[in-house]
Amino acid sequence: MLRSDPLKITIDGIETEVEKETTILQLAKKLGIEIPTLCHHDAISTYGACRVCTVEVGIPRSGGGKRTRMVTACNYPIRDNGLNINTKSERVLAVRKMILELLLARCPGVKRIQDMAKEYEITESRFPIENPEEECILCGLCTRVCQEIIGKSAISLVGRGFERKVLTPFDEPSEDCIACGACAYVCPTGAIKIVQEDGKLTIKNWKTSRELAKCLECGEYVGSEAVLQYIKERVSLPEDIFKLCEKCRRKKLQKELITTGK
Amino acid sequence: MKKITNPENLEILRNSLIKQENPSMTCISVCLGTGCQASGSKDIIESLKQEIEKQKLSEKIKIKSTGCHGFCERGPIVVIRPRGIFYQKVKPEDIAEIINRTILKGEIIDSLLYVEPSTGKKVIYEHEVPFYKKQNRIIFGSNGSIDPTNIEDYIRIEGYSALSRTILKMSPEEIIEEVKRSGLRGRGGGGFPTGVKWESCRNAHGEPKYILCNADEGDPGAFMDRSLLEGNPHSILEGMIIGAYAIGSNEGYIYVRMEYPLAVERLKIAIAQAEEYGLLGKNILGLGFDFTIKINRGAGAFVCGEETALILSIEGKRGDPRQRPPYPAQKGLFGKPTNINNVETWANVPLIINRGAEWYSKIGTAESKGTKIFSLVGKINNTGLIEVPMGMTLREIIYDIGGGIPGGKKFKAVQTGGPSGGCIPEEFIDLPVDYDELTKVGSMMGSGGMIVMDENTCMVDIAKYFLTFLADESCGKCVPCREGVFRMLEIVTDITEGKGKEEDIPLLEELSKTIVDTSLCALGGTAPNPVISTIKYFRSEYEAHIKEKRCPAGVCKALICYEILADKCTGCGACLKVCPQEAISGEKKKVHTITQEKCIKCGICMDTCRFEAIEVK
Ligand SMILES: Cc1cc2nc3c(=O)[nH]c(=O)nc-3n(C[C@H](O)[C@H](O)[C@H](O)COP(=O)(O)O)c2cc1C
Ligand code: SF4
Ligand code: FES
Repeated sequence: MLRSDPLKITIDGIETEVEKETTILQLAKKLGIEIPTLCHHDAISTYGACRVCTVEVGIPRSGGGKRTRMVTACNYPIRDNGLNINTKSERVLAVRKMILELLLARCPGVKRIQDMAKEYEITESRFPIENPEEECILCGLCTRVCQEIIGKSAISLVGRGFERKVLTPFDEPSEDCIACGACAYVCPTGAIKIVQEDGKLTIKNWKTSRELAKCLECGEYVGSEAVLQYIKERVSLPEDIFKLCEKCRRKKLQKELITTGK
Repeated sequence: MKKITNPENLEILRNSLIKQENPSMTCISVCLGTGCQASGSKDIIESLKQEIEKQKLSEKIKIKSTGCHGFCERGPIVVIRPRGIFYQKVKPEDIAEIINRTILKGEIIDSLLYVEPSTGKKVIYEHEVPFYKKQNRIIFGSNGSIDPTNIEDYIRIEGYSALSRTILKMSPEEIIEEVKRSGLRGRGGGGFPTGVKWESCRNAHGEPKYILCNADEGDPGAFMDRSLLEGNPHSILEGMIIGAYAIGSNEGYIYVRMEYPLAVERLKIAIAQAEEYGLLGKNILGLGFDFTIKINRGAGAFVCGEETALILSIEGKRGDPRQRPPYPAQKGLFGKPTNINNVETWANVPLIINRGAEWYSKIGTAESKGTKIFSLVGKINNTGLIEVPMGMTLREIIYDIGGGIPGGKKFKAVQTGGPSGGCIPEEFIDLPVDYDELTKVGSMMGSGGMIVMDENTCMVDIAKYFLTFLADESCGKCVPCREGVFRMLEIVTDITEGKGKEEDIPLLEELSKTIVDTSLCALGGTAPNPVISTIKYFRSEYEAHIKEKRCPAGVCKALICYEILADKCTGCGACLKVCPQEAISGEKKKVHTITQEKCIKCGICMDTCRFEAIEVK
C-alpha cells in the first residue's frame, strides 16, 4: 500500500504529526501521555473490552465544524487530518471513574483495580459486591494469548452478560492446555493461579495439570513436559534438547569444548 | 420450466402470466403466515379444497395461500377476490357456508365480518377495514395477493423487472446514485443511508465482496422481517441481487434466526425457483452476471443481529460484537468488504428501481423517506403489522389504525424501537414518526416495534422489564454494558420492591451517561433508553416508589395490597374459593377479609369478584 503523508492532529493541546492508522494509544505512548489500559497488550490483537482507555475525539466534519465522540484509544486508528484528541477532559474522567467503580464492585480485592481506582479518587464502590472473591475482569487477554501467541485455544469465553466466564471446554481438565502459563503472565489482575506440586504444574482455573520434566543431570525441573514437547514440534529442535536444564546444558557444552579442544 | 436466458423472455413470460390470469375468476386467498397458521389456517385450506372438490367447482374457484396480511390478531383471514370481501376468524366449519352463500349466491355472511371496536360497525371489504385504510402498503401489500411459493405470482406483478432493468440498462454507479437519491435509510435500526453504504463497499479494496441480509430479528414481539421473508421472499432476493450487481459481489448470505423455520422453508423454495428460472446463480438472465445466495441459520442470541457479531457468527465463531472501524464495508466477512442490510431495506430496492427515486422520495419526511413497517402491539384494539409512510403521527397510528385503547382506558405512553427504545408520553402524541423525531424525544426507530401502554402500566416496572431483557442479552464483552446495565437493573428492581433510595435516580442517570458514552456496540449504547426516558417523562412515578413506597399504577407487588370493600362485598365466597393461599376468610353472606401476611398478590380474587368489591391499594 502507498505510504501517505503524515496527518496533522492535536492531542491534549499538543500539535503533532502522525502516520495514518496509528492508534491513539500508540501515539500517546510515544509522547509520554499516560492512558490507562486493562485489556490491551502490545503483542496481542486489540479487543476493546475494558473501556478504561476511553478518550474524547473531535472529528472534523466535511462541511466544517467537528463532531465529538468517545472512543477507545487502544484500537482507534487515526485517519483524519485535524483530529482533536483529549485524553483528560471532564467527560473522559467521569466515564473512567464510573468504569473503575463498576470494576471495583466486581473485583473488590484486586490490587491493580484498587490502585487504578485510587488514581481517580475512587476508594469505594456504591454498588453491592456480588462475589468478594472475584478477580477476573473478563479482559480476554488470556484467551487471546492462548489462541494467538501459543496457538492452542485451550480456554474460551462462555456465557453471556454478567454470567460470562473464561473456562476450558465444559469446565473439564483441558486436553489442549500445555500449562505454559502465558495466560497467567498476561493476566492484569492475577486471577489465574498456577501451583507447582508433586512434580506437576497445575493451573487451578483450568483444572489442568502437566508433568514437569526433570534435568537428567541435576534433577532440577526444566518445565512442563507438554510445553517442551510442543516447542520441539513447532521449531523442530533436536529430540534431546530439553533433557538437561539450562545450567547443566551449558556445563556439558563447556566440558565438550575443553575435551575436544575445538 | 426452462431457464430464462434473456430479459425479453422474462417480459414474454410476464405478459403470458398476466393474460392467463382471469380477473373475474373467484379467488379465495387464505393467509398462511405464522400467525394465521397458529390459529388454524391450514385446516381452512384443507376444508376449502374438499368442499370445492365435492361441489366440482375447481374450474370456477381458485385457492391461493398467501403470506401474512398483518392483521394476525383477526386470523385466520380469508379474502374473496375480485370483490375483496374480508372474512376474519374463519373456522373450517364456515367453509361450506362461504362457498354456498358468498361464492354461489353473492351473499355476505354477517358473522364473519370484522366489527370495528370503537364504533361497532361491520366492515365488508378489505380496503374499508380501518386498520388497512390509512396504511400505505407499498412493501407489504403484495403479501396478501401472491403465493410466496410460486415465483410466477411474483413475476406477474412486476417481479424481477427491476433486476432485468438494472443489469441491462444501468451502470453500478447509476444504481447507487438512484438508491442515494431515493433517500432510503437502513431499516435494521441504525438508519444509515443505504446508497452511501453501498458506495463505500463498492469503493473498498479487496476481493471477493460479500452481500449479507440481516434476518436475525431478535426484538421480542417484532415480526415484520419474518412476514416479509414468509410472504414475499422474492422481493428480498431481487433487492440483494441488484445490490450485488451494484457493489460488485457474487456471493451473498441470508442470516435467518433459528426460530423462523417457515421463513427458511419459503426462502429455500424461492432461491431454488429463482435459480431454476435463471434469475439467480450463473449468468443471470443471460447478461453475464453471477450471484449465489446461501442461507445461514442464526444461533439465537439477540446480539447476533449486530452486524459485526453476525459476521463472526457466519464465520463459525462466537458472536460478540467487535470495534468499528473497520466497518464491514472495509473488513467484513472473512476480512473482505461486505455490505449488510436488513430484510426490509432489501425489499425496498426493487420498488425504488421500478418507480424511480423521484417517486419514492416523495413519500415520507425531509430526512426519512418511504414507508416503515411497524409491529403494533400492547394495549391497543387492533394489533398487528402496519406499514405507514414516514412522518405519520403517533395519534394517527394509535387511534386511526390501531383503533385506540381497549376498555375505555387512557393512553399513557408508547414504547418504540424495540427493547432499548424509549417510552414516549402523551404530550408527544402528535409527533410525526421518523428516524430523527423519535431520537429527539429520547426513543428511536429501531427495527419498528411499537408497544402501546395504558394508564394501568407502571413505568418503573416497564423499565425493569426491558432492562431485564437487555442485561440478559448483553454479550458481556465490555465493562459498561455488562456491569453497568446489570447495576441499573439491580437499582430499578430495588425501586420496584420498595427498597429504593433517594440517591438512586441520580445514580441511574450517572450510570446511563457512562454506558451510552463507552459501550462497544449499540446494544449497550442504547440500553439506558428505557430508564432515561421514563425518568424524564414519569419522574413522579419513580419518586412515589422511592419516597412514598407506593406504586401509582398498582402494579409493583411489593408496594400494593388487595383489600375488600365492605360496602360492596356480598359475601358470595367466590374469592375465598379461588385464593391459592387461603388468605381470605369470612362467613357466607358476610363481608370477607384478606389476611395480608398470607397474600401473595396474585390478584386472582380481584379477577374473580363480580361485584368490584376488591381494590388495589
Ligand atoms: C444488539 C443489536 C441487535 C441488532 N439486531 C438486528 C436485527 O435483528 N436485524 C437487523 O437488520 N439489524 C439489527 N441490528 C443492526 C445491525 O447491526 C445493522 O446496523 C443492520 O443490519 C444494517 O442494515 P440496514 O442498514 O439495512 O439497517 C442490530 C444492532 C444491534 C446493536
Ligand atoms: S455493548 Fe454489550 S452487547 Fe455490545 S459489546 Fe458491549 S457487552 Fe457486548
Ligand atoms: S485497553 Fe482499550 S478497551 Fe481495554
